[in-house]
Amino acid sequence: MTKVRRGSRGAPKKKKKGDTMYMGHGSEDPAKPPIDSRIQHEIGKHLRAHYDDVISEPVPDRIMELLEKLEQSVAQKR
Amino acid sequence: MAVSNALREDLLASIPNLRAFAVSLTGSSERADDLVQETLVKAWSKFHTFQEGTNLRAWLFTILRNEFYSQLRKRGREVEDAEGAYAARLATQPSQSSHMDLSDFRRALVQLPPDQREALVLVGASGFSYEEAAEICGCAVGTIKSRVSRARNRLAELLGLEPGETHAADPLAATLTTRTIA
Repeated sequence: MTKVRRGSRGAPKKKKKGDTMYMGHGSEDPAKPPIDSRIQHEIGKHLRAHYDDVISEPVPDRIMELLEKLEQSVAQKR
Repeated sequence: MAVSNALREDLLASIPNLRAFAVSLTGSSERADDLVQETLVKAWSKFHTFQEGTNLRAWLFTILRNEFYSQLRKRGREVEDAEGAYAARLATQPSQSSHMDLSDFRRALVQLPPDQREALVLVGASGFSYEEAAEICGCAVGTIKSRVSRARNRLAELLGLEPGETHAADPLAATLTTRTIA
């Protein structure tokens, strides 16, 4: 599959990227009032709990091994 | 390209955060770790373009999210759709107890469109300002703000956090509201 990017003139950023991704949801009605602060707080709390839960996991060995390899490749070049 | 000790330490310190962002984007720790690895390889190959003293974390996050979207484009929409369908099946109604747990939240989070999920996580959990998030995503600050707001609205719906009166047509929300009142 080949993709032809039209009219980008070499610009690296495609501003329209997300435009097709949220079709079909009912939440983007601009007339809809913002959700109340209690709900916002609740969502924020859970979002951080999810995020902090991943942060607290140990970094997997394969990532540390990759870093070592990258550093060795630098050391060898010098 | 030689990497200074200070930069190396900053890089190491950023990895847990990068993983958390990657898990949030992909919804899978396996794919997240692949993504982090690809990010590190990319970062290494272009460390010479990084200006020491500027925000390394934002720089790494930018590489990671660009990598995520380029994979998404390569893999095509069908994979994402299949995953979305899977997530939707998993996403049973909000749990019976009044307390939502972490897995309820994660099931809802993966159902958001990627651009909304990304904006919400960058601003709400990774600790970036709206301006920084806009720079990372290569879009306007206003776009980030509206994505965050849409993400919150959608999550509120998915998690049944919507205030009752706006959702009279939703039997589930109605049940929840009744139960809360009773």
